[in-house]
Amino acid sequence: MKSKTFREIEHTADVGMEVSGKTLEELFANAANGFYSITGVPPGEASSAERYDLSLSELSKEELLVSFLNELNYLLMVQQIVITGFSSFKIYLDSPQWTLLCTGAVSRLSPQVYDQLQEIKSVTYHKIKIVHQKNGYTTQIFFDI
Amino acid sequence: MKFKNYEIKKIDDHLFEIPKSGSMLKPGRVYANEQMMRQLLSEEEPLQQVINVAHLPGIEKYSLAMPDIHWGYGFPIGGVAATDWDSGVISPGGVGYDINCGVRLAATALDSSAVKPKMNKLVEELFRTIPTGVGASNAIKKLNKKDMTHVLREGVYWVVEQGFGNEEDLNYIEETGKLDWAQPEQVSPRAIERGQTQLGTLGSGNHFLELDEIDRIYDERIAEVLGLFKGQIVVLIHTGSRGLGYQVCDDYLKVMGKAAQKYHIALPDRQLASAPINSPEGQNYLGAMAAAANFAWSNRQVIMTLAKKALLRVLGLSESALDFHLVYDVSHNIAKKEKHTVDTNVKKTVCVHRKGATRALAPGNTAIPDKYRSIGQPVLIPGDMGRYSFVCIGTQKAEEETFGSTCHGSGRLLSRHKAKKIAHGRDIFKEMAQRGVVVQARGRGTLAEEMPEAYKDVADVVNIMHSSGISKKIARLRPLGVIKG
Repeated sequence: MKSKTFREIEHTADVGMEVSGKTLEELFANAANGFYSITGVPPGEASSAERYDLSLSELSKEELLVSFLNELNYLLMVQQIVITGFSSFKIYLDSPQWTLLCTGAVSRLSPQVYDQLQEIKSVTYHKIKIVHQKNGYTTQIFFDI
Repeated sequence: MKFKNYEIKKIDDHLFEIPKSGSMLKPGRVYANEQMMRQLLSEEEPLQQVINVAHLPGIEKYSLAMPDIHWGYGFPIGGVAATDWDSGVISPGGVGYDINCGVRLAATALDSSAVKPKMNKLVEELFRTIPTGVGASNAIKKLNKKDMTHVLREGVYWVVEQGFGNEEDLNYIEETGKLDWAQPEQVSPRAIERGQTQLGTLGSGNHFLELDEIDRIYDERIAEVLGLFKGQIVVLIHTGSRGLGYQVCDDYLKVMGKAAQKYHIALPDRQLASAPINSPEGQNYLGAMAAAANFAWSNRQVIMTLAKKALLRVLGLSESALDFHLVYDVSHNIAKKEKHTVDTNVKKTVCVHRKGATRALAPGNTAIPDKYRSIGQPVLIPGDMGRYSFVCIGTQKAEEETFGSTCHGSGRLLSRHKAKKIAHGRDIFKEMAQRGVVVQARGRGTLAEEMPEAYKDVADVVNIMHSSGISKKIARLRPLGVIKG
């Protein structure tokens, strides 16, 4: 997984990251990479041809990003699967809702890898603010560990 | 002292006030000494969060912070706020993701000298018996949906019926291990799915089960009422509602975000999103939160029973020789309907949010079991795995000043990242063994993250509340064996 599109932010009890992307879709995909890096998922390609479709709607881009990462967290912590290699990634405003549609490749974690993950209780709304600058989008995200 | 534009007022050596200003509805109050306060002034988040909480509609008296205050989400960790039950709001940010995270103390009749030689074996057996770590599951058979409804509605009453502990235990759990306003139907299918395999599991992070010896008694009379003596082996358990509670919090933070807009509740932080207590959203959250709280108490009940069985197996003792019994169980992440004196001599029904704070009721309070009523409610304050934890007792002053609340732990000093960096190349297992503590941990990085120097000294926190007269120190526990996630 790439590591230049996000960086960890120091937090005494938890973990935060700053993430950026040229487009909203790239920002979300990079946030997913950052999330997996923080949880300790080893980098690698999908282990199967299995695909997973995600479809989410929220009232703001920020709420949508929190929902998206919480969905990945649920899939990781409960189903023990990692979603990577996103394709058909679309984020759009259908007022008043922001909608995300994407498809990803499924990797199933071995019990040995799963056992060593950093548990994330949840993705928080703390200080999350997606800012659009001339080079694209950026935001901070904090995880409750 | 100044924090941003706020002039901080020193009330006494252990209490500071942030006066009501701007859109704050009440002042903020922080229990801390000068040194702690100076540290807090240098940080952005914790004091700002005390100020933010003071904006909650219906907040009574003060937005309070205990001396273990640190950066949380919405409320600071160590935050306490009571809102008027009829006109105030409830906020999941005042409870936290790990609903009813809490601490349980069980005692034995054993003296540490008899147990120390078997500590390796005991820790090994406890680690084998009680699932720890991120995916900790299947301590007992997977619960079906009907079982889940029982545990969410009836809490410890149901798990006792299933053979985990006995009816006597119910007396020694806050709220007897069951909030009767729980509504399992308000818990999402996803939260229920997460809970089905997690009853009786510790989880990861700072959760633990310890075998401790009581190494210091501060008040012999009260310790005797609690059945505690120097050299005694006790079991300390720290965990909560696991993935079920996290999911309930997630689900309702979404609901509350919309509710805050619907009811025109303007708050300085999205994580403080709230709804009127008496709105459908507020009532649904209360019902779901209570169900998650019942799950957490049940979780600690099952873990305690599994620990007792592990002790019996390794030590080869009879039940009567071990005399394993529950001393008390407290929650430190919860919101509850309670009656407190708000104005002089007038008791009012309020919703007390305790986020990283422990209930600490005064002697005579009828919510305290008969056996302890004359001394006050036991309060359990865990420290790091290398130093000590404390048993304290609630006071009248706590009921007068802090809605019957005190601190809950030590708080981190080092970030996880920094702790791992410092621990690099060191053998923390060996270092702990040299301190006389046998440790088993599941996660590769857990031990480094959780090493004693990553935490503040819990004695500093406990001493402030002792000197303030909010909670009194009774006994100190020193870890001998620890299992972690």
